[in-house]
Amino acid sequence: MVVLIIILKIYMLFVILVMAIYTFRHNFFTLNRVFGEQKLYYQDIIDSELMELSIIIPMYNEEKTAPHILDLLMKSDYPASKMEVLPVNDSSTDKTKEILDSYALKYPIIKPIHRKSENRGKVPALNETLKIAKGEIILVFDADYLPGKGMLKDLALAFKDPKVCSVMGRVMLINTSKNLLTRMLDLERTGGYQVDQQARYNLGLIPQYGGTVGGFRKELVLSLGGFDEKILAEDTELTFNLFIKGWDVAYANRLECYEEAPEEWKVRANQIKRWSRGHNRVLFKYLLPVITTKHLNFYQKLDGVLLLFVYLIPFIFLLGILDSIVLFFTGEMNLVNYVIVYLLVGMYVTFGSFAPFYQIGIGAFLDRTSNRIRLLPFFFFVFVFNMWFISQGFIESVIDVISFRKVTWHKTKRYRKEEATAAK
Amino acid sequence: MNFIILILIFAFFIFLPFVPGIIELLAPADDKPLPVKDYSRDARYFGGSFRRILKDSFQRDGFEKNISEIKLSSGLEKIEIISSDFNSYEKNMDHVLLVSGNLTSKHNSNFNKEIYIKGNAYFGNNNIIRAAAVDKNVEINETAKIIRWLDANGGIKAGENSYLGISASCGEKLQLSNGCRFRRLFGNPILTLQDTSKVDYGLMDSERTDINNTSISTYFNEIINEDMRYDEPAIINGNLIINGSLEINNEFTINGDIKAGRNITVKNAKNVNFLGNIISDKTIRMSGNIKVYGNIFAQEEIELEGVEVGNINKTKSVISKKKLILGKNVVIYGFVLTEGIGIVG
Repeated sequence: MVVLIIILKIYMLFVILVMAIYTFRHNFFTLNRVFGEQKLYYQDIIDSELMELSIIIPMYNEEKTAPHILDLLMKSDYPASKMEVLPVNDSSTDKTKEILDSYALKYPIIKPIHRKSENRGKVPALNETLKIAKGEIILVFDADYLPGKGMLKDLALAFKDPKVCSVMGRVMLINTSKNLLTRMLDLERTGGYQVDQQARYNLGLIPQYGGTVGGFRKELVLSLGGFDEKILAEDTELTFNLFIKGWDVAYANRLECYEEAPEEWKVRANQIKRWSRGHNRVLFKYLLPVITTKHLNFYQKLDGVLLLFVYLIPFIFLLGILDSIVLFFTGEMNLVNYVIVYLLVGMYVTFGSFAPFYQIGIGAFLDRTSNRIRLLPFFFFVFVFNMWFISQGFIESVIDVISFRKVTWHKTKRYRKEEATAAK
Repeated sequence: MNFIILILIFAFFIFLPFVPGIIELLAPADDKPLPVKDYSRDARYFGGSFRRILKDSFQRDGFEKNISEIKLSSGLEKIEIISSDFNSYEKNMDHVLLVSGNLTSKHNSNFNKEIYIKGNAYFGNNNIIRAAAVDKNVEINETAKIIRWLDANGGIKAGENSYLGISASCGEKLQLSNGCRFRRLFGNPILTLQDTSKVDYGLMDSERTDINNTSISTYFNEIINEDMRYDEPAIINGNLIINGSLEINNEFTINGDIKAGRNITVKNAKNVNFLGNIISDKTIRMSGNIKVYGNIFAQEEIELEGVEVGNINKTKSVISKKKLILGKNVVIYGFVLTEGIGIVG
């Protein structure tokens, strides 16, 4: 029993320390975004020589969204002679196939790929399509995204830098006003992109490729063996795979693109569980390579490690709460040194628990919106919700590793109301 | 009883932070999607946009009188239409001006509103011009100052110590003189010599390393984690990616792109050819006899002398965040931008 109590106490201190580290990280990024040097992205380059692009859009039952993204891509200012659009119909059971075929008839640069493989999912679809894509640069959009006119050109410009092997734009919500969930997700995105991603780009740390509104160099990804089909978070995997080999990911805060967010808590729970499951597989695979690579400096390694642990922290915190309950009821909350504990707890309460709120608040300020930050206190509930489902995702990822079971991709539900239409 | 009151006070303070959020949910004041900037980049946007507004207003309102009104982004403005050449002697012009012929202004004139000239324009010493769109050529004399933008379909000749505002763009040559200050330039080409016939590119193309028989390769080299220095002549195929700095002190040709985590310096070197882009996270300083076929991009400063960027058929960009200095013999076919100070000298 004594040993158990000591272990519980040490774990308690560990949790407080971890929280303090993440507190510092959040606040550092927020301060950088407000007062720090902002790094230039490449969108201002005007260059008459453009690269060949292949735009991949993985689709499964996307009859409601497919026409929108295809129409928008056809309005892009990127020269048609320099691009091809590859919508990948992954054995859809709705009218996706007919819609894609009708667009292909009207626009020769749209070349649908109809997959019939049993090995369904975004990652296998990407791997297969990479082999037939003609473009030097691959851009990826999820089907619910709405890219603007200049988006393709500005994303592709990042590859003028030979060290940049992947690029990521900013995701914004189109259905913000729908309900409390979408409004909270809107704020989450604001903090995540406007502050977190941009700060990491400014500081030369590890900005993330997010798997959509972004792209990568085809030959490089093929030389890395494509994407690991055992990992659901192919975007995070690519990010770390590139960084440990010395390549860069560029983040473009000004390249904004609308997406549709989940409107139901159940759908959101599944989405975040999947992200956690995939991200933690990346943690298992890349933790050591990140620490040992010669291509990252100390700060990049530190940021990389903290980023890898992001989807494990809620589980650690959940155990910490259970730990504190046990210690409280056994009357053993008197930890090693009260002064240190008070300082750490005080620091966390003062700056820590509000650290993501600061990010979101500053993000909203930079976006010149203010009233929406009134919803910040509701993040307490989102925090609990995320902690629970992210922890589930972590447990699933551990089971994946132990059992060698096959991971399957589950598409996030779409909410668009319009009826399916063929090319007009 | 006291316990119940304490509980109620506690519950009140717990509930209090949620009140603004509940109000926002019940009566949303800020629930619209954040606006996405949907644009297509255009280096001559200001001039094009102003011309479109004028054209639309003409079609809609006619402008039959000499003084009429026009709606600009700043609001409703008076516009004077002059259907001949215009010589300005006035110290201050406080309305929008449309001149069908040429415009000539004496020194110390102030054009406090936008002007549109269908012919040529000549702005005298110390003129202050808010914004001007010109269909032919423009000459800005010494110490004249553009407040916002200048766009010409022909060429622009900027006198010594003139200030070219937020943007100066043209369809032909943009000639800069010593002491010119700028933020954004677009020309075909942009030159830093008074007399373009005296441009000395140093080596004739035939004397340069034969780069026409090679093509930019896209294979990936190893990333170099240290500084690089070339004191002897070198020809490189492929991309040069260095986490440190790069120094070139002799003849050099690269058939690919360059990226350096720190400074890139080319010191008075002849026969230097960059077939790809040159990108630095710090500064780029290049002097000598240099041809660049790609873009030049630096997160801090750029200083160029004796450098030609792009060609008549290849529009390229020179971009730096903090400072951009264009010395003698600089020719850039395309676009120049700095968020900080841009100066010729």
